[in-house]
Amino acid sequence: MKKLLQLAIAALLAIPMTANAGVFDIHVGGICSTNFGPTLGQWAGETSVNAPIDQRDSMATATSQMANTLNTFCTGSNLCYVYVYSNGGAVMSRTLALFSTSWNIAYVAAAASNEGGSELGGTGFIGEVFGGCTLAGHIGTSDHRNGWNHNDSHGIVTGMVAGNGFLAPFIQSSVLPGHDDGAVSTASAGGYASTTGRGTICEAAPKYTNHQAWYSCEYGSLNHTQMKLKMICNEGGLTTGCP
Amino acid sequence: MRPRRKQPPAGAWPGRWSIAIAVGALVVAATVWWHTARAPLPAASARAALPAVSGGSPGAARVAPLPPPPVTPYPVHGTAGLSSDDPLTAYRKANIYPPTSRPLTKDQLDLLKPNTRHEVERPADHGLGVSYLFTADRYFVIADETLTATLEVRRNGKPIPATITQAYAAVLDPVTHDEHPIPLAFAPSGSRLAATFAPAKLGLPRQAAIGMYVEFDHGAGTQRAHFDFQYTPSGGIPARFTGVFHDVIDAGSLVIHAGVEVTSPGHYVIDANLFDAADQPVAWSRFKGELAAGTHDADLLFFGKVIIDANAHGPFHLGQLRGARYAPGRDPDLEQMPSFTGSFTTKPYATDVFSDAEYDSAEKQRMIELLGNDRTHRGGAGRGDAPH
Repeated sequence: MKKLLQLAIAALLAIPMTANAGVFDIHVGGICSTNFGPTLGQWAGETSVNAPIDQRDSMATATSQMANTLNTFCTGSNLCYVYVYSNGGAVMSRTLALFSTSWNIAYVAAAASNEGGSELGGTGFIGEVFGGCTLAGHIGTSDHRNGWNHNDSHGIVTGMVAGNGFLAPFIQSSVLPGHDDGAVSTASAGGYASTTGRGTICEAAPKYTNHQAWYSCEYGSLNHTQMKLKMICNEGGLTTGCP
Repeated sequence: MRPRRKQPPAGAWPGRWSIAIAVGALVVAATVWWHTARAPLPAASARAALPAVSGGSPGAARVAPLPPPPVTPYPVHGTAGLSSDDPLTAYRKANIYPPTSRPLTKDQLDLLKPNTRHEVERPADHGLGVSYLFTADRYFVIADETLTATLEVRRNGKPIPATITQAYAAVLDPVTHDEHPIPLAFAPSGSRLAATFAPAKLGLPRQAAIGMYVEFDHGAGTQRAHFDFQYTPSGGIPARFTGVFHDVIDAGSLVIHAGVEVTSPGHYVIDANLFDAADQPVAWSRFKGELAAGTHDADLLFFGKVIIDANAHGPFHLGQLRGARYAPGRDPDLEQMPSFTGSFTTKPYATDVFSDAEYDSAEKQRMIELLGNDRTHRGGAGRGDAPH
């Protein structure tokens, strides 16, 4: 009887670990980063994950690491929300397009996404705006738009927010078509299927499948750097330090 | 004086009440587990309609939950304005069709012209009304194909002459960064300068990213520009389309089996578009799966409801059939297959052979269940804050 009781107690302790699905909030940083940085969104009862994605050298490396992160946290009875910033949006899109794994991802929430590549690629502004890493020189519009099928999102919705604020050295905005946040155009941040200049991410024009504008058609005073935490703030993950 | 509670004999623990409580708790826990963490619903046929009644233990009388109200799919071009659907509704709207078999319209140029580049004309660093466009005729170059790079320089919208001061190609090495410039020769071609580059001469063993660099003088200053392209040498081609196809109707969907001769086994992604008898785009499909060495079929599913919703009529024909082997751990990690340049037309098929049932799968049901249980994140339905 004692062994039976021990078994029952052990089962009692073990069941909640499988019964309650863990919710993980995956944070993916931008170009030249190796993680999201020190500030993550926090939601009660959930676990925030600072994804170790190396975006200094190649999209190939970043894609593999993104898949590893999703394999770790987003399978079984777990559920993930994925918060991506800047080139992290491209990494996530590419990962979904290449892998067949059925990750449990509720949605991707993208701030200032470089999913469509930046026209600054191939210009002298690239290092100044994005940083001096190798990959920064190879995230142009053709690199990203030709590189994979952005419409294959595993059926996962990507919500997007975009800025139109000024970012030093300012003149680079003349290279970016339509509105921009100083680093990426609204065409990229809004998930549009072409580089044609856009006034806001609400404009009616072909977008990649399941890409949507959330919360605001444009944050006119926020630049690329300031946009980093905007989606997380909108989602209630941060209450201080929000732009 | 308050009487002390009688202590049970040390050797008698656990007592009957303790055992009863523990067993009761176990029953409760098992019940909770049964309702929250049982295995995903049995894999449904891709053609099965959404289940109206949930499962239950044999013999147990359970009240079936009402089925969720039907939703309409998001427009093919995306939603103009802000999307304000809650995450569950958004997921359901996004998954009326399978993730890799969806509608295609003539405006989806990224899928209809997958090898068309995306550079745009941009102002020169020094301004003065000078703009330039440095681009090429393709992004993917296979085997003996050549790439033609073009440079067009304008002032106030009108072409102006430019002098090339440096022009070279470089095979990008993401590990060593040991890149050697290969001179390029630009020559006038209409109002532009053009250079044809044949990467086959480089004798590369496998897939490579190659950068094209140019520096030019436009009379008011010097400008540099750069773009990359992907090259697959003959020896690095992982697989080829055989040109053998056959088409069938499977559970209300059109499936085109595309023959593939595989040299390098691995995980493949293969894309194709479907056009109707009037040559109008109907659907795109993507095969994602493992292919062993040898000759195999890659199954391209064109979902019945996509064809029905497009009011498309056969015979159908394939277009833009292309693919790549995904080789994680290598860089570049996508080894390209030569695109299929021939044609394939299906049997005519009557419209009524296609099903208009919504897509369903165990994965979809699992996601609906998970999303239904989580109310913390509101996605597009969140309140956000005032625009800045």
